[in-house]
Amino acid sequence: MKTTSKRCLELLDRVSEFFDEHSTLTFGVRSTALIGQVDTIADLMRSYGASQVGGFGEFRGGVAERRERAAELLA
Amino acid sequence: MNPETAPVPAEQLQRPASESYQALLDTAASFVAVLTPMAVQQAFIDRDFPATFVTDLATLATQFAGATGRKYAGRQTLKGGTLGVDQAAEKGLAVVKELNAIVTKKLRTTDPVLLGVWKAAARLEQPPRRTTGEETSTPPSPAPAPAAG
Repeated sequence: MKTTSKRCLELLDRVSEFFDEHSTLTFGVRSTALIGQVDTIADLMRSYGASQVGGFGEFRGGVAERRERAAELLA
Repeated sequence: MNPETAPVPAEQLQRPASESYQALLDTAASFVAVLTPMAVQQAFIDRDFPATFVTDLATLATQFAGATGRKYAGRQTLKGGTLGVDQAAEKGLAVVKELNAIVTKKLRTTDPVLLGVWKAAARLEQPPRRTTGEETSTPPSPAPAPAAG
C-alpha cells in the first residue's frame, strides 16, 4: 500500500474514532449516512491491501516454481 | 534412420535454441508427443530410461504451465488490490471532505473546542517537505556577546 493510501486509511480510522468517542453528537440523515460509510471504506481498503500482499506472494511463488520446473525440464 | 539404433530422428528431440520459457514449454509438449508411442517409449526404457519418463515429462510441463498461471493470477490480484485501494482512498477522502463541511458548520457555534479535535482528526497528514536551503544550511552561530565594560 502506498504511503498516500496509508495516510488516507489512518485518516478514516481517526474520523471513525472521533464519532465513536462523541456518540452524543447528532447529525442529519446525510451526515449519518456518510459516517456509516467511513468504516466500510476503511475495511474495503484493508481488504484490497490484503489482496495486494496476497497477490504479490502468489506472483512470487509462481515465478519461483516456474524457475524450478524449467531447471528440471532442462535437466 | 535405423529403427534399431534410433527409434525417432534425433532432430525431433533437440533442445530449444531459444532460452525462453515458452520455447521450453513448447519443446516439452513436442517431446511428449514424439515419445508417446509405446514402441518409442520402449526403445528408451530399454536404454535405461525410467518407465515413467514420458509421464514425468508431461507432469513437469503441466506443473510449469500451472506455475505460469499462478504467476499471472497473482499479478492480476495484486493489480486489482492496488487499483481497489486507490479507488477506495479517493472515495474515503470525498466522504471526509463532505463530512468536514457539515461537522465544521455544526461545531463552530456549538463546541469550538471539539471543532479543534475534529480538525485534527480529519486532517490528511502530508509527507514532510524539505526545502533545498535546509539541506545545506547550518544553524547560525550565536552573536558575540558585547564586551563588558
